[in-house]
Amino acid sequence: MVSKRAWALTAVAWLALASAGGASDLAAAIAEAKRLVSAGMSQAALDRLTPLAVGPATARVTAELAAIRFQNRDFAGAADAYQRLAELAPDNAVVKRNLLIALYRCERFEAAEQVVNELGEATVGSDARALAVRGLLAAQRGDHQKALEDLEAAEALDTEDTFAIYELGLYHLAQGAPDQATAALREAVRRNPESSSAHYNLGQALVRAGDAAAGRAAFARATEISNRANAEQTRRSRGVALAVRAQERLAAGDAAAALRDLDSALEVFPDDPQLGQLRTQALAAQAPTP
Amino acid sequence: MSAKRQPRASRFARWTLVALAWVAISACGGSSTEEPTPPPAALPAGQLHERAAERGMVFRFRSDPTTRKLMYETMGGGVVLFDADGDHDLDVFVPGGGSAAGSSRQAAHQGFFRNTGQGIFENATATAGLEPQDGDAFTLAGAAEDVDGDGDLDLYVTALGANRLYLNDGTGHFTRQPRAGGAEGDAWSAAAAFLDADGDGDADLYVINYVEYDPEDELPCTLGGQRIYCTPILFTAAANAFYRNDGGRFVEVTEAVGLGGSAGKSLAVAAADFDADGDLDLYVANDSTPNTLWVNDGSGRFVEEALMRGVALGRDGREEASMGIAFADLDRDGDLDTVVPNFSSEVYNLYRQDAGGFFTDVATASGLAATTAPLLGFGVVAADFDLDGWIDLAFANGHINDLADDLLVATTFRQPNLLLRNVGGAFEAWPERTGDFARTNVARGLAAGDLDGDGDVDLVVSRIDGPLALFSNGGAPTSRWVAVAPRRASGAPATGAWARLELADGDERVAHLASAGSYGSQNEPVLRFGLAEGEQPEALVIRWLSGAEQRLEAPAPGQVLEISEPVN
Repeated sequence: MVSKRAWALTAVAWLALASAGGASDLAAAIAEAKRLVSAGMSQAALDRLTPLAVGPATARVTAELAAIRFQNRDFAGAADAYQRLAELAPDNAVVKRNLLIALYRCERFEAAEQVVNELGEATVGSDARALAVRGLLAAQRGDHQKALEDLEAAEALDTEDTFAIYELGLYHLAQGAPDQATAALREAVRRNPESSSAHYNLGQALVRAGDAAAGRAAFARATEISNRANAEQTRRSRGVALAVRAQERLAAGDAAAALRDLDSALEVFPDDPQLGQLRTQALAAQAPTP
Repeated sequence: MSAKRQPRASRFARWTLVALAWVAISACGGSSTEEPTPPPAALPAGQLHERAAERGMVFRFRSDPTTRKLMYETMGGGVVLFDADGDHDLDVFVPGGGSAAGSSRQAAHQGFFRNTGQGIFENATATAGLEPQDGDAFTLAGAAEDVDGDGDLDLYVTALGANRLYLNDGTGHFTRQPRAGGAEGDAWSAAAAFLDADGDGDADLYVINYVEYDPEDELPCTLGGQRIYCTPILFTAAANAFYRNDGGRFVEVTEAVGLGGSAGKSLAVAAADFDADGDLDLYVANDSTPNTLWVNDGSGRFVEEALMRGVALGRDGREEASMGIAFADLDRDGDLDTVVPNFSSEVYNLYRQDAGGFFTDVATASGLAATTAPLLGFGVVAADFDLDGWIDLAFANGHINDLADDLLVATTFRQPNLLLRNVGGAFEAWPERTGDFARTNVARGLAAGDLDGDGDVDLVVSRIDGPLALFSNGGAPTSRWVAVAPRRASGAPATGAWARLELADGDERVAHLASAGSYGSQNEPVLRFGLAEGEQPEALVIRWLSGAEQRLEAPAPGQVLEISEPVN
């Protein structure tokens, strides 16, 4: 679910405000790390930031490290980072909530239960996501009454958030209750119409409930959303690869082939100045010597 | 295997009597007929020991990597275990890639190792007639089946280009067939599965193809300014092909049987009767595209139902980079569940089959998710490694990106293989048994079978960063198991057969003989049941694809019972 990532980033922003960091070099390093992450080089981003997690910048940098690991589905690594943050800010409920989710995702269930206990009933009971995770932990240990109670309470606590309602739908699905799953996942779809996950699992629920036609429609919607995202990713990846090949071809003296690749790459990235410069070089290389 | 050695009867009662008498004299590989091979004294008992060189199996997958980092160089190949010469032990065929030097169509490489008894092998590639010829394409996978109905196992080899078919003369000597008997193709064929799709008694063939590919046209993929191996994102899926067996010749009928329109980038296939309706279905693991489940309507026509059944995507509805398949009854509820290894950070799937033929991904609840998150898996087998009655899991792991250590989060290029113990339907790490299997490597193909005839299941792993590995199961010799090798009337393995073991306490287990699976690999065609302390086998019931059932009272433990389907 997209909201998990957004939630992690919210914590980063919160910590950025709360921490003592803020020096321009640290800000530049974080900006560079974000650029690396968006370019698919998350490990390089971690390598860039990790040495900076010292002194007053520790909390801010550790929050960035946790967010990067969470985005990369390295939930164990994210849990470790949030654990360090929690030690730095033991009273910070946001950090502990993030820690709780990361621990659940990497299946450190006992540690997650401990965090639930540390947060306390008042905090968990007033936080839809923490409450939902407590329900999921109950399901994991087989306490289905408690699981359902917590998931439903979490859903009621925040009727526009997608996390609890989606997890409630999945819970019903796993428990063989397709009608209840259908109701919850229909609501999850309403709250987040662009979630292919919600559409897909709604399809599962509908098919199991006996409505194959509606199930197929939900699958079609999930596939459409997913295909759209994949097509864009493919287009961009192809553009990058063409640009790299153009450089190689130019270096090898094949300006005409480089120009073909560059023209294709520019269809993907029409405003990229580096591609424009390369094209100028290719044209010059292709021009007959006076 | 000679057909005249098999018992036949047309009626159930008569068959049972014959079978009882026959089984008493034809058990093979069991403690009653052979001395089990003891585990090596220098290594702890109960672990998997790497013993390939010691057992004569010296082979290395070859891809001759280029600086261009062409995608096929990192994909590796499978492992095929089959009895080539009819001597009741497992021989090994290993697709070995080839020397490519920038082109995929030069100097194919493959190996054939004949089991000389008790798991000692000799390289018989040349004498068996399995040396590749000049111009043969890069070898990827294989499948063994009785294509011509003469009772021995022939060999189909898939490649990055034209595939090859070798017919067996019954002694383990093979003759290559022109144009692969009609199933040559010219694609990146990642694997193949034989199945009698239409119930006419012969083996049809499904060949899965990965992506449309020409190494000369492969675009460069980079990360951080460094060349890396591409993921399939830049490539178009190649169509798979289904061939009907017409008297030993293959005829391509993909569209006619409903298998057209496959849009997956296919890397693994298994043929199994997943819904237990008496015909063989096809499950295909696709890389970064939804997996496909082709359900057989009983006449040999297929309908795609992976999304409907819940085995197309991960739990959160994302397509994953799936690369292997194993079917088994992992929770002992009488139906087949399936396991699919994926890319690092995606976690592997464990699709539990529920009522109505629907599946639920229970990777998290079963303990599979946390263990597999950093891993990238190709080969997978489901087998009872400690013979305790629960089916365990083994995975062959290793990243495709040789710069993963520097560029990717929470994963590495070389990875440990993984052996997971099944504890009541949940899975946990098994360090006390994993042994050498846990050493880091870049593994691809994985196949399971009792190579040394001691009753427990060994593993063969194909790797791209090292020699072929044979992991000998060092479990203490025991006869606390029941095993059956279901055979068709011709003597060839009866793919699709079910076995149900009834225990004295009223409990029962099922096992199913699937075809292909793992990654480009093939396991032994034997159904094994471990017996926990105190469990007594009361009866073994075989259900053939025809629907007929045969019952064997008080099956003898510690033996592989070869049981043939009666001829009506």
